[in-house]
Amino acid sequence: MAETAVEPAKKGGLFGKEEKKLITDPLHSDNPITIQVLGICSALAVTSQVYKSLVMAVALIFVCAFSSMIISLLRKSIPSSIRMIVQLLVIAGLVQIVEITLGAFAYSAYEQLSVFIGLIITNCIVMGRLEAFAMGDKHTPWQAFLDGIGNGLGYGWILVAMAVVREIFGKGTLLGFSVMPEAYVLNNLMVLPASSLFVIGVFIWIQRSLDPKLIDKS
Amino acid sequence: MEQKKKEMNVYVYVFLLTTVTALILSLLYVSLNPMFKANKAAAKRKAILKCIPAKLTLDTDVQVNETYEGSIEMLAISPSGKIYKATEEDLAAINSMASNGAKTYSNLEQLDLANEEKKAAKDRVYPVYKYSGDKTYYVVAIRGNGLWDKIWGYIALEQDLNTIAGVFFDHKNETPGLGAEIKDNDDFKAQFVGKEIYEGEQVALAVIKRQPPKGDDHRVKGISGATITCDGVTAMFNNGMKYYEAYFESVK
Repeated sequence: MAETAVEPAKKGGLFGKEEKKLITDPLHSDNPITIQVLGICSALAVTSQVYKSLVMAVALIFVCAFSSMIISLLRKSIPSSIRMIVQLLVIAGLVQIVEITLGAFAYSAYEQLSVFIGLIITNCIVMGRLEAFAMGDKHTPWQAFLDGIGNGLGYGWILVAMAVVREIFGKGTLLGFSVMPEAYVLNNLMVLPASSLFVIGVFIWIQRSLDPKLIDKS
Repeated sequence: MEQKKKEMNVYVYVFLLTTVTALILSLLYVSLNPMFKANKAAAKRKAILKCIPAKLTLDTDVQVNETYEGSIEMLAISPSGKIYKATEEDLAAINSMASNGAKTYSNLEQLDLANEEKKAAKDRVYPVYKYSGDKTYYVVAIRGNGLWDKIWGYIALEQDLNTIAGVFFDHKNETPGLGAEIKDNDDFKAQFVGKEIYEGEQVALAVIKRQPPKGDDHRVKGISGATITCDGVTAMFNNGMKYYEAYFESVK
């Protein structure tokens, strides 16, 4: 993607300390799914197979990054009375771009994900980042873009990790290839959306017990 | 005054932003839609070819299209046995029967059961895909109800028009891991191969709950947890095959 073209650093640079934090924080200590508990609906729906969640993750990273950047660029001009409508318009437009592109270049992914691509519009992470970060006066469009990538990645890696667990135990496969011994009896519960609640729960548990900073003292 | 000016600005802003978005999207749509349509058509061809037990290479869309064009002859038949071929006159005849908001077709391959179901029952036509290779197979299309929404399938028949050579099922909205297994589970579909649809005059093919006894020619074991979808498959055979019977008679 374009952000890898690193230009000569100005003050702080394109990848200064702050920028790096924008990418790394959402991966762990500020993860949108396990810490902020946003974007759960799609995490329940598309994690039954690794391939689906990979495509979903890429789609969300794209939408999140570019909507953050565009909103950050438009920030000063947006009339405050229609702030959210403008945000929605930008998100919906980008989601349509994803949908049309998938239909043309990755038809099988388009078929499998069907409505869930469209539902990125309602993904709380995207709008949440626009409101919380991209609209902020202190942040540049580039930082907003990185923040979008970071949060998209934070969402994506949890999604894929969940899908790995669910696909292995639910279908005995990984990316469609058989990985479990013949004798393994498929666990149908893992295929159903409800199982992702258990899986997310376990993830949150592991994450918090590994990092004492995340434990809620009260 | 100031207030009014601000309001105007909002309108102008919204107008400009929506116009720009709409322009970008429509440009993208217009330029990519042909690819999307081609993908969709190839996916349908692939589904049809996949029922046929012959060894076919169907990895890319190009291979799918080549195989399809080289081996499949498509017909449409009416429940009374009238045959329509892929000619302009026959297509016009089919299109003249379109009613109740059913779409017309610009070529026979667009024939779609979902669209046909909008027409009055007597005006409907049904597709037959005749495969000629080392052996001849007839692929027919059936459509019915699952638990949540529509299910449909393609059935490849041997030359006796009774023995199943292969099946393909799909669904709109069945539960993954349960009803959706009619599409995803190859073992389920493999059971149909070699079964006979008719016992005498009656459609006897059925999906049942238990493992059918060895040597049973008509029944297959259903998917546990997906009883309603499986019953839907049985009903789909019962309903769907009768439209083809007049045509089958004429071929036999």
